Order: sequence, then C-alpha cells, then structure tokens
Amino acid sequence: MAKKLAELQSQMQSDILKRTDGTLPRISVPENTTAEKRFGVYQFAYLSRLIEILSGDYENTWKFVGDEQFYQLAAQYVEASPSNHPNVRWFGRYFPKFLSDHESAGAHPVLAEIAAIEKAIEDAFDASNDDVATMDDLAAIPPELVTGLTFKLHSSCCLLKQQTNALAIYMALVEDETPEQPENLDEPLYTLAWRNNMMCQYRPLNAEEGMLIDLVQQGQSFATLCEMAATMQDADTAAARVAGHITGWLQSEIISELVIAK
Amino acid sequence: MVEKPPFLGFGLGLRPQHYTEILEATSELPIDWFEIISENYMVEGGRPLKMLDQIMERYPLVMHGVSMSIASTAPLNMDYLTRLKTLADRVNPKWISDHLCWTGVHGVNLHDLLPIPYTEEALNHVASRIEQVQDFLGRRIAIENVSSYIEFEESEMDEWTFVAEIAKRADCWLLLDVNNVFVSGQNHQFDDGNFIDQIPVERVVQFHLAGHSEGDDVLIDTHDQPVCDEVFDLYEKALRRFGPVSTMIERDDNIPPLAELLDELNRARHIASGVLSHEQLETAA
Repeated sequence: MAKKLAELQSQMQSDILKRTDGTLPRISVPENTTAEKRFGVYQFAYLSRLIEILSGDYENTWKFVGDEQFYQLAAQYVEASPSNHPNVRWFGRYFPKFLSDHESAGAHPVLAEIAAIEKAIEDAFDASNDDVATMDDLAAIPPELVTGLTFKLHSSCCLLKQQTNALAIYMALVEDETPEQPENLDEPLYTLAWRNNMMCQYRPLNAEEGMLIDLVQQGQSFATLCEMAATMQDADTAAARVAGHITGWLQSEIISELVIAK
Repeated sequence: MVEKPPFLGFGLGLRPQHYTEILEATSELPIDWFEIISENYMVEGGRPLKMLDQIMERYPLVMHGVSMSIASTAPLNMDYLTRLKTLADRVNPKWISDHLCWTGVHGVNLHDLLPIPYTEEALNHVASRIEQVQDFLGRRIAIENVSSYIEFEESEMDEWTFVAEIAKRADCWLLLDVNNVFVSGQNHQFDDGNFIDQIPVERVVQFHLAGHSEGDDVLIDTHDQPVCDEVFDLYEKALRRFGPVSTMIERDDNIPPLAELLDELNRARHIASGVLSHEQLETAA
C-alpha cells in the first residue's frame, strides 16, 4: 500500500470537496503564482463541472427556475451527493429525489416533477436494447391462453404519476414557449416515457391507461387488466378497451415480451 | 518488446454532434480513424451504441477512458474494468488508453484528472496497477500524461522521468498529449521540448492535439479551443523524435462543425508531411 500517496489523496480530496487548504503546504508552484490559486483551479473545476453536468441533464428544470436558483440547488446537490460512479452520466440520477426532499419542495412541488420527466427521458435514451414484441407475436398466442397472458415492459419505459402540471410546463419549455403557472392537479396525471425506434418519446396517459400500465409493471394478467378496467368505465367494453391499449403499446414498442402463464 | 500497434494516420475524437455528418457523408471524409470516450458507450443500449456500431463498420477505433483512476490508492474498480472489457470486446479497438492520474478515493469520484507526486512509492504503486489492468484486459494499455496546475514538494523526480519509468516498469504504451506537455510546461516553467526528448520512442503509440484556455497565471486544459500554434510547433518536434505516430484532434467542449476540426487535422497532416517521408505516411491503415 502506498501510504504517503493514500494520505495525500485523502487530504486533497477532502480539500476539494470542502474547499479547505490542508494540501497547500505540500504544493510547489512557480514564483509568479501561489499554491492557493493553483489548487483553487481544482476546487473550482469540481463544482463548476458537476453543475454543468446537471444543467445539461436537467436543462428544462434549469430554464424553469432560472440561473440563480438552479445554481444554488445544483451546488447544494453537489455537496449533498458527491459522485460515486465512474461515469458522470449517472451523477444527476438522484436530483429529482433531492428536489422533492428539498425544503422548498412544499412551496414548489412542480420542480421535482419537471426534473423527474427529464430523468425518465434521459434514462430511456440509453436503456437496454430489449426485444420488442409485435402484433404477430400476439396473434400467435392460443386464444385459451390469452386471459393468463402477462406483459414485460421495455426497459426504457418509465411511468410517472404526478400531482402537478409539470408535464404541461415541461412541454412549453421544450418549445421555448412561456409555461403556464405551476398548480396542483385535482387528479394525478400519468406520463409514460420510453424509447421507440431509438427515439425517446413521452405522452400523458388517461387514468385508465395509466392504471393499466401500472398493473402491467406489477406483472398482472390480461384478465386482471380487464377486471380493473371494468371498474373504471363501462364494464361491457372493458376487454375491448384493454385490447386496444395493448395494440397501441405493441405498435409503440412499449412491450418487450408477451409471457404465457405456465 | 512487442511490436507497436499500427500507425493509423490522422483521426478525430468521435462526438455525438458529428454522428449524422459522418454517417451520411456522400464522399469519403479525410479521417483515418476515431477515438471514442469509453465511458460514453458503457451504457446498456440506445442510440450511442447504435451509432458506434455503424461507425466501427467504416473506421478503425481506439478507446480512451477518463475514469480508470490508475493512480488512485482506492482499490481498482472491477465493475468499471469489466464494463470496459465488455465494450472492448464489442469495439475491437486498436488500443485502449486512460490517464496517468487519479479521480477519487473512498468511493467518491471527483471527475477530474488529478495529479500525483512523482515518487518511487507512486511509481511502484501505479506500475503495479497498470500491470493488473493489463492482465485483466488481456492487452497492453496506453497511458496518457495529463495537464497539471500544481506540483508536489515531495516529488523525487521530473514528470518525464516518471512517465518514462512507468512505461518501462509496467510495460505499457504511452499516449503523448502534446497539449498537456505544453500546458504543464508553461504552468511549471519547464522545457516542453526536453520533456519530449526524454520520452522513450518505442513506447508512444498516439498523440493528442488539443486546445486550452488561459486563466490567471495558469493555462487550463479545457479542450474547448482550437489547437494553438505553439502546440503545433511542439507536435512537429515530437514527430521528428517519434516518427509516424497516430495523431488526433481532441475537442470535448464548444464543439465546432466537423469542417473546422478537419481543417485542424489537415494542418497536422501538413506538418507531418514536412517531417515524415511519403513511405512513413503510407503505412497508415
């Protein structure tokens, strides 16, 4: 074990994270500058680099709150959640949770929900290349096995159940339009993000479709989906409505596998 | 000593902003090879890997990482190395490189290329880790000199002595970043030409050319500017010493249109054509 090197690295990392100066006596610099200034390059770069990463990952959250507030929130996140992953792609993965837990979340719950939409879309971007189930696959299922059929969602799928008009605000920000004022919704709004033919997609779901995707995630069968749909709207057309949703999901590459019960 | 990997010619860092232009070019682009940032493709799927698959059908690739943290005193990250190896199995790169630096300890990643003191202790430590990585990956890797803004009182040797000794002890290749030599030379007031002269010719498989920014009493390795004249001058000196070495323009921020990078690459080609013989340049893959 390189003890001296280990001790130096611990000190230096601590000084970068906490902006302290314990490393300075060990630093050698030319006469035209100081150890403080040169070591400060690393301290400054640490914070600015990670804030830049967050501002790229959460561009519309940043747009919504403005430079000053985003910088403050991002700096707090950097301090609270030092990166523990070798790939900086994952540094911001806890930012929506950080925002929802933040002391300002009570007054501004919409912020965490906008960030959650951005994260869902980013995660869809490079999610696993699962197989995609097709209408032909569905047609090949023996009719007597359809009721027990379950569905595996594509790895890129993320179902959000949100309490505010974050989606409307997000969509306006993406189009560089003035977003509406934040407000809490009377009923939660489901939004699904996923990847279709290598392109990230998102769309709001009505209450029934949102509930059905939620049930699919839980591994519930076609029969259960129909039973639950019957509680939402006209029971006589529940099976047809569920079948319609499944057709749409297959056509949108939302389903990766049709699983026949054993 | 094993024979060096082939001279690939003149390449660019592959950046997502240029995917479409590269793949939809109607005539052959004057790019001999690409370097990818390994971490950008250590993902499960989606467009990054799809683009990569298409580009590797047409161009030789090398892999360049930023997170191996070879000089850290934290244990080697075997999950990272496993993912790196998986990517290498997919890409079949001409070689894999990373930096002579550390990026964090105690489970934290600072996402910076941090310098170390040039001591016998560090030399033994880093050489041993490079050997472990090479054993795991089943191939030699190339180690790159970094830009630095500080030196350490406890250093026992010059950076160039340390770099040369690392290559010898670990039996690895070197990626000589000419801009980093220039930046560190300015920051620490050493002779960058002497640095070049002290690096063993037989170890260098790749040159990086990049831009930097000027801070207050310091040059910063930002990779967001064109390569400056002084770095091209140092590149010419390096070519005279090392002969044909695969050369690329490394731009990571403030990414310009592809045509601007091709202009810079053509300048490197032009300099090389004045230093190297036609036969030497013809060996490019």
